[in-house]
Amino acid sequence: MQVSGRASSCLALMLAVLVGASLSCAPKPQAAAASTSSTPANASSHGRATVRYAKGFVLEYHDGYKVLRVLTPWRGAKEGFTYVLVPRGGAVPKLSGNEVIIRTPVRRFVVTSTIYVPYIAMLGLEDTLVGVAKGRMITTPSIAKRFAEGKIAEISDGSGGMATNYNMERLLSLQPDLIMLYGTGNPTYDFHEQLHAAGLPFAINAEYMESTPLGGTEWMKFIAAFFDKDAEAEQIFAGIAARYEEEAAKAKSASTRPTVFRGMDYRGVWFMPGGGSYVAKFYADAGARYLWDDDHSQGSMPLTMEAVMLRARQADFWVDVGSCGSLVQLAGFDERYRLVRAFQTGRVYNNDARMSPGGGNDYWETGIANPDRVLADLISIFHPELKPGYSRVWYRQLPERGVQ
Amino acid sequence: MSQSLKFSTLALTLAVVFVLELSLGSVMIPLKTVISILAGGQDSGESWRQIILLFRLPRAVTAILAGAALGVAGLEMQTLFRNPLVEPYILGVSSGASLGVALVVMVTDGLGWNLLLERAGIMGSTALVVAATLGSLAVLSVVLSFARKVESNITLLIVGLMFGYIASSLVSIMMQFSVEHQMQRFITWTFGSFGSVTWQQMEIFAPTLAVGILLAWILAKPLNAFLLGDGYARSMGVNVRRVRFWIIASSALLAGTVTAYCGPIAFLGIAVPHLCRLLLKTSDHRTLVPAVVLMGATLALFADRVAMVPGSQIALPLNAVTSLIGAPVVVAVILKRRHVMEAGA
Repeated sequence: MQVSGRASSCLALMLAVLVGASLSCAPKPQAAAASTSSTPANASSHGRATVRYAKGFVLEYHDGYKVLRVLTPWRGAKEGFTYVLVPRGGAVPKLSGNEVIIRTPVRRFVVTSTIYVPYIAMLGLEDTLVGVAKGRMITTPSIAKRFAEGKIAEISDGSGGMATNYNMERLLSLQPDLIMLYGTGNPTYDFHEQLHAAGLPFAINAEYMESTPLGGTEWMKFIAAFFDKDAEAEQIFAGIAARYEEEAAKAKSASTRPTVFRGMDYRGVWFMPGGGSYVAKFYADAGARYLWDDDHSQGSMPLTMEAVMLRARQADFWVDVGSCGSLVQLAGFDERYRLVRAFQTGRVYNNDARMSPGGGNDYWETGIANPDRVLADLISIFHPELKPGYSRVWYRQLPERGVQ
Repeated sequence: MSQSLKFSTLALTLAVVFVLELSLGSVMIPLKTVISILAGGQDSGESWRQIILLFRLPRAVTAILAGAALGVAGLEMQTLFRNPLVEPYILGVSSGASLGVALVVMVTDGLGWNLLLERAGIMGSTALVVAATLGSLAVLSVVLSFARKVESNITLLIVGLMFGYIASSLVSIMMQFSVEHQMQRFITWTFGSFGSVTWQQMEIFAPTLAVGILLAWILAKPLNAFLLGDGYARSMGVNVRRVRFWIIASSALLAGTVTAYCGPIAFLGIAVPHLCRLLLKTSDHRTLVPAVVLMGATLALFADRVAMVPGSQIALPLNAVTSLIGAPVVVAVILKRRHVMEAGA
């Protein structure tokens, strides 16, 4: 008894030393983060957010904790995820046991997609972001600057998106309170199983599954909830939604509905967004008729080039043509693109006017977070008479020949 | 059935599949209209004429040429190495092509690069074709220089395989450091497609393949001698090293060109020679070469037709379809015969 008691107390001491050592080694959270997010006992004192457009998550307020439910984390997912957000020091409620408990506000945040980066800046949470997948792709100025200063670590060694490329050691050494990532249901890309095995707290963000632009952007409330910034997100989003609705109402008054389609052929397959996708909604709200609006699927359809050409030959507008910088380059990929009327009239627009030096396209970062401004860009393309003097942010008309 | 009857049947089947390829697709165009458009008629709608003349016809011609080329290249390689499981890519031709394409897509792709190409007068798809050709030429020149020096075919086979591995390793290292859209572009290239060869590209594609096939036809006699082994070929007065050089050159020209323009197309190169040996019950290359041309063309067209899912707008990956058709064929052939390289049952 005596021996085993000593042995166990010895073990406890060793553990204590180890834990102490690891704590002291860990970089301290930024002082600014601690001051901007004080730790109240009751989440409701921070105001509330109400979900209006997003269909993929539910936010519930309870006494002393919040519940976030992600209903369909990826296409075909059988189960959702439930996160219980409890303020630091608050009592953990007794629930069914399948929930993930996250302490709020999160102080050491890691994201694996640049999609979430602009929300962090909008909510003033720059100081909490300690890790990203690939830093050079980031276009949001305040965060790109912090990355350049070495305040944000890169956790992916290879290209982003592949689960095998994440550096688990670096991630563990960051000691994150929360890692936000998206799931696909495909183990080649999905990283959350590894995070689960390593005991790291993560949240699946299913923004990309939303079928409307505002629905996608409303996921900023999902992010904000982990930082008790619910009221701020509510206010910022309300502004975006109001401006979006205002622009859409303006586009509704247009007398014409020009036709539009998007993308390029990739080796015999042309991925065309379904008529139920957020892209289709963008075009409709901008006063255009999407040529595949008779379809109701939310994902992309793999079409043959022949099928696309049959339908799109007379299209008024053609948008989002990959990395093509001019009409000559576009025709260089396939001569037959010249058959499209939009090509002949020069009404081809690409969303690449703002690229980061590392090759990241700001459309997929700031654009997705500001659908009201993307909509304004689109309206100025389809109905220039409604936006006199407007200069576009992400879209540019392809010149005949490339310029730089 | 006499040999000439079998040939007529093959040719007839090819003609039927060819007409089906032109008539079926995302929209069904009646046979009569197809023929009138091919004959230069102007009475049908502009969009149907464009679909037939600019999309389906070049696609069908590409499939015919690529199928024939891969079949012939496979036949040459199977005979040279006297191995039934050898395919046209065995000497690393397609790995070299992938390396070239990966270099273009992943190291240099982007707006600035596209602008540079535009200034140089080389366009997106042409750049890929040039890169793939240079890549396969690089691997090929190494293999051919070995072919002049080493005696043993097995040594040559191993050299080719090893270079293939080196090329694939370099590609995966590049993929590790590429961004998502580059990776996507490379992966879609590996899917293979007959649909991206335009009439403009056909001006190089078709004559090159014709030369390769003609070369194989000229080599039919020495190929027959190789069937019985190098020693026998030598005793027949065949200059083994020189003929081997030309066999490899012909097969690499065929497989390399197809890969450059269509991406790596799976399985046709293995399956088609077996099918022809089984059908014609001969191992005489003077019969097999033309038969493989017909059979390869037919199977490639058929696979493409299936991949395009008639009556829908959907496209399936071509390689998935060729493998689905090819794999059972090879299994059936192997089960049916003990010596797969010999003619007949």
